[in-house]
Amino acid sequence: MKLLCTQCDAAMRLERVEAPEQGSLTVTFACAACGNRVALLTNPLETQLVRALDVKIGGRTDPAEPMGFVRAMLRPRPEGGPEGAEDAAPGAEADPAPRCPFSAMANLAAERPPLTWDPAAERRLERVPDFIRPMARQGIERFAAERGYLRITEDVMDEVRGELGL
Amino acid sequence: MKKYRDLAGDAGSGVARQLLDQTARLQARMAAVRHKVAILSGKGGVGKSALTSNLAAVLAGEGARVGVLDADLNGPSLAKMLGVRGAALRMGPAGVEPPEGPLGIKVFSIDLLLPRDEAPVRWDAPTERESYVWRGTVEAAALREFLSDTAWGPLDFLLLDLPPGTDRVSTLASMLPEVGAAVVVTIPTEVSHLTVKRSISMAKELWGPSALGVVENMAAYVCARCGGEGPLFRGPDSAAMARELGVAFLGRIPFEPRLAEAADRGVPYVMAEPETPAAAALRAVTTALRALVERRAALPAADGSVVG
Repeated sequence: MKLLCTQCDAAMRLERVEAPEQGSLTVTFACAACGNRVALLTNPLETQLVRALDVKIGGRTDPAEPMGFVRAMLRPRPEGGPEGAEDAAPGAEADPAPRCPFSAMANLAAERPPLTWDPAAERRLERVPDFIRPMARQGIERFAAERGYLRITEDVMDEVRGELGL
Repeated sequence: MKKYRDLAGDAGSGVARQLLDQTARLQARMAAVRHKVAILSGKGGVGKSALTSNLAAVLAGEGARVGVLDADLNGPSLAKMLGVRGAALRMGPAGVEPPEGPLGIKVFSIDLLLPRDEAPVRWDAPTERESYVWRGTVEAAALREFLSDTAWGPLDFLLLDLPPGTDRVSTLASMLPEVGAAVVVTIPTEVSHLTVKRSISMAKELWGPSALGVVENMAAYVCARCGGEGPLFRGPDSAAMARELGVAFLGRIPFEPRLAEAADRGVPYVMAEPETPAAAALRAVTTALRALVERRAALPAADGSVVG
């Protein structure tokens, strides 16, 4: 989906995403030309459709975890709540220690593979003045890590420039 | 006024990039799998999962590195059939490590994530009302994640046991356009042929006729006393159906009650009863499947790459 500022005939850019509240996302877009803002408000079904795609509007703020989607979407067994009664067989007693399928996982994946730079992206970074290059590098790498990118390419740098103005 | 295609980018939503990343993750994982084989049928109850577990066992017994993904999210049975039900999952450096069943077969199934025997698969949602709108999308995303985030390692064969029907076939084809073979299971009845033909037509459209092979299950009854075979169903000939539809016929497997008993014990039938006619038939079907995937692997894909 794209938003068009009808006054300027220009694409609007996503400005902010607010966490779902009562199943509704608030996504604010702004026109870079005139500053006009609009907010897109989703209903719970629309929010669920976005979740079902395993995407986050505005990009990921943390790298994708293995089976992160299934972990988030598989409804945990309620502990003695009314919904637990729906799951249980008639006459079954509530299990005092519900099994979380992933709780037994020993997390050996703490070490993420390091970010790598495309030579073309490196060359482009070289054009940044010396005194701010380390900061720019850090900013780009943080941006990439937050979105789960493993490789920094010129496309990633374009995104950084668009979103952070670096 | 500008139209959709006049505007570059995705307005900063990052959705297109995330979908591309998902595809890249899947492709990176599947690159280490030589042959992806889907086992499907339009009809339920024809023995897809039993066939899958036994194909896996024969292949593994022949020295192949084999993984099995139970793609039937709402009726998973392979964890039970391959004896890994209740196994604890471990997160390794390359993803979720699948438990290993007999002969080192790596198994992943949603069954491993469910808390109790009677617990159905329930997805988190503000309401179950209108769940038909998003359920298929959630299940497709879960299947993609099972494929891409399970640390399968290098495999010679990854067998994917699909649920009955045709909807998951197209989902899988969009994820794995380069599938090495699609085994279509039927039984010799007109009702089964009617629904299975539809699955074959869809799979042919998606993967091409060279990928397909038909297996006729419950083809005969073997007498437990004398070992003689007799017809179980007096239905149409599945080999003739395969010929008519222009796809390979991989063989017939007789009905064998002990096959279900072995599955209940978590042991593939070909290991439990290797000397029986049904086990011999399963080995013959596996040989035919190997020939099918090797023939197909020799064909160039539409993009010039090799099909796997």
